[in-house]
Amino acid sequence: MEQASERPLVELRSVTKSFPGVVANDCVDLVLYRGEVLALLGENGAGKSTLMNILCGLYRQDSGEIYVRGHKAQIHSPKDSRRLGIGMVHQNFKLVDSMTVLENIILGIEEQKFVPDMKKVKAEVLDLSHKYNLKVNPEASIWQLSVGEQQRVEILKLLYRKADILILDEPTAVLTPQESHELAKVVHSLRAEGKSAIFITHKMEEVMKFSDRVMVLRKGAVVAQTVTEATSPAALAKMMVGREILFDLDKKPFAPGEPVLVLRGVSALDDRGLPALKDVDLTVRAGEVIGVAGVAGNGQRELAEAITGLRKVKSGEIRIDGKDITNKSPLTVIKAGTAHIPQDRSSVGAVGDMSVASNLAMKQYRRKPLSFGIFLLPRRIAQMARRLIETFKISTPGPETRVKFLSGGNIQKTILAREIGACKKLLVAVYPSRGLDVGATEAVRKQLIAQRDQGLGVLFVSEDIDELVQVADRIAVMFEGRIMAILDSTSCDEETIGLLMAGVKTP
Amino acid sequence: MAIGATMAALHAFLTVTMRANQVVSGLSITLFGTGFASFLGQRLGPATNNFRLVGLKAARFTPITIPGLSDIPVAGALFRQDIISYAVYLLIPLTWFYLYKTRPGLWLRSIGEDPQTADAMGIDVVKSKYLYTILGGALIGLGGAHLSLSYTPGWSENITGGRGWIVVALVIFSMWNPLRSIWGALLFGGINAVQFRLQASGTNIPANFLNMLPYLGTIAVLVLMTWWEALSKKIGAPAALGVAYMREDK
Repeated sequence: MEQASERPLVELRSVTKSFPGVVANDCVDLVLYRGEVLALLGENGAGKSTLMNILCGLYRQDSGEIYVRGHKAQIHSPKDSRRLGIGMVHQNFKLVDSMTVLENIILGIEEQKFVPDMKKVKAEVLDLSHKYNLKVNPEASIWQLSVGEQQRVEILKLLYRKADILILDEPTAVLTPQESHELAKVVHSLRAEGKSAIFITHKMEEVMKFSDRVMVLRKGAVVAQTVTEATSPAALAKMMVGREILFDLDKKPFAPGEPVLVLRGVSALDDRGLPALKDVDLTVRAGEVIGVAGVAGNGQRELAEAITGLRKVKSGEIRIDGKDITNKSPLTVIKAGTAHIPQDRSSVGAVGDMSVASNLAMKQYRRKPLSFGIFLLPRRIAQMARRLIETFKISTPGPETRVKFLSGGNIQKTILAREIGACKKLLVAVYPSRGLDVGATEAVRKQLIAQRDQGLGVLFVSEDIDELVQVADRIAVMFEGRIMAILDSTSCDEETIGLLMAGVKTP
Repeated sequence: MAIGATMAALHAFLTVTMRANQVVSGLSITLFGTGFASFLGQRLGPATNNFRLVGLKAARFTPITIPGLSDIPVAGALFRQDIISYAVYLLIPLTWFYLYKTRPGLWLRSIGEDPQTADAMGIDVVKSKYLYTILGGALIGLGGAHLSLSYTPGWSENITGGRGWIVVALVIFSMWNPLRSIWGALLFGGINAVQFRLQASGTNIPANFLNMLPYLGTIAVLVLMTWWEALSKKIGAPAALGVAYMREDK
C-alpha cells in the first residue's frame, strides 16, 4: 500500500473553494496512492462532496493545484477528469431516469460508434456485472429500479469506463447491510487489481471496514489524517464532531393508547405494475413507534406511499384516527394529522430556491402564530426557524440562506425539522437518518422518540437493525410485500430479524 | 433558413449563456421577427411599389410530380409536392433515427432530460444547446420559406397566421417524437383542409368561425393530451424542458 518512495496517484495542494456565504474547502491537501482506499470522513457540510466534485471536474477550485500521476492536471470539465481515469458515484445519482441502464452506461463515451452497437455493450456490461457480482437488468429504465440497483448501475458505469481512481460519495447510505457488505467485496477486489478509491462517509464502522487510510474534514479543513489500523471508531468520532457522542436514548415506558393508523388487507402495485404489497395488516397506536424492517424493495416505499395517499391501493382499507383515507388525496391525509418524511429528499420535500426559514414554515404558514389572516409574520417565522436550526443542528450561514446552498445532509435535516414540527397524529418516516452524520442521526432518533412520548403514532422505516431495536417499540419485518412477523423490540434478537428479512420463517 | 438560424443563435445566447427565461426570450424574438418581417415587407413589397419583389414569383418552388406514384388515388397527392416537402419526407425518419439510434442523439436526449447528468458524463451541455437551437432555428426557417415561396407564393402581412404556435401544439401532441409528428401534422393539416373545403362548399357557418377551426383544434388537442398524460403518467416532454443549466448552480 503506502510506500514512501512511490509517487502519489493523485495529489491536491491547498485547494480552496467557497460558495456564497460558505467556505466549503479551506486549503485542503490530499494524497492518494495506487491500490489504496482512502476514507474521507466528516459531518454533513464538512466539504467532502465539494472537494470530490472539484476532482471530477464539476466544480472549479478558487485556488490550489491538482496533480494526477505526477503531472499537473487542469480539470476544466468532467470530460478531462474521465480522461485522467477519475470516476465518481455521486450522492444524488447521475442517471437519466427515462433512459435504460445501457443507454446510461454509454452516455458521454465518445469512443462509441455513431450508431452504438447495443448488443456488444450489453454483453460487456453483463460480463462486468457477473465479474463483480453487480446484478441488474440492462434493458430496464432507471426509474423502474430501486436505489440499490441504481447504485450498481453507477458502479458499472465507472468500471465500463475503465476508471482507476474511483470516488464513492456516501455509497452505503442507500444500501442494506448485505448490500454494503457486497460493496465492500467489490471495493476490495478493485483494490486488488491496483485501482484506488476515495470513499466518502460519516460512518466510523465503514472507515474501519473499507479503508487503508483515513482523512477527517471538519468545516472545510483537514483536521486529522491517519492509517486506519492505528485508530478506532471512538477516536474518529471525536475528531469528526469535535466532542463525544452518546448513543443512549432516554425513553419513557411504553404506554400505547388508541390506534391512530389501521391497515386491513392492503394490497398495492409498484411502478412496474407488479404486486408490491400483499394483504398487509398493521396497526400503529398512539404513543408507539412501529419499526418497519426489510431489505430495500420489499414494499416499504409502497407502504409509506399508500398510507400518505401518494399511491392507490388495489384492495383493503386504511384508517387514520378512525377516518377512512383509502385512496384519498395526500391533502386529506395531511389534514388527518399525518406528516411524511419521504425517501427521496432531493425531488420531494424542499424548495431549493427558497430560504431555510421559508422551507421550514411551509407546512405551518397557514396557521397562527406564523401568520395573521393572509399576512405572514416574518419575525415569528425567523424565530421559529432559528429554534429549529438550533434543535436539529442544521449547518447554515443563517435562516435566510437558500436551501440549495446547503449540503445534502442539511437539506434532509431541514425537511425533518419541518415535518416533525407539523405532525399531529401520525408520523411516517422513511429512512429518516439516511445520509445523516452521527450528530444528526442522534437528533433524529431523539426526535422520533420525543414524538412518541407526546402521544403520536410513529411508523419508522429503516434498514439499520440496531437503530430499529433502539428506537422502535415493535418491529414489523417485511419481505416481498408481506409482513412476515411483528416482534417486540425488547425481546427480539437481530439474528431473527435478519432471517425474517431474508424470508425465512423461524418457528 | 439563415435568418432562422441567426434568430435561434440570439435565443440560445439569451437562454443558455444569459439564462433568460426561454418563454420570454422566445416571445420577444417572435415579436421582433414579426415586426422586422413586416418592415422588410412594407419597404420591399407591393405597399410602396418602390421595390417589387419581382424575383419572387420566379424563385418559387414548383411542385414536382413523380410519374406513376402521383396517379395513385388519394395518396397520389403525396407525390405532387415541391422540393421542400420531399425533403421533409426524408427529414422525419432521419431525425427519428438520429435522436433514438445514434450516439449524438443519445447525448442530445440526455441534455433535455437531465443536464446535470449529461454534464457529469462529460457532455458539453452549453455547446450542444447552442448547436441544436441554431439547427432547430434553421429548420423553422425552412418552414417559413416553404410558406412564402411555395404554399402561398408571395408575402403578405402576418402570412403565418399563427402557424408557428400550432407547431408548438403539434410537438406536444407528438410527445417530442418525430415519427408521431407525422400523425400530428396530418391531424392539424386535416383540420385546416376541412376548413377550406367547408368554406368552398358554401355552408351557412360563418367564414370567421371556420377560420378559427385550426386554433380551436389546437386547444382541444392540448387539453386532451395533458389529460391523457396525467392519467397514464407517461412522460413525453423532456424532464428539463425550459430549464436553464449552469454547472455550479445547486
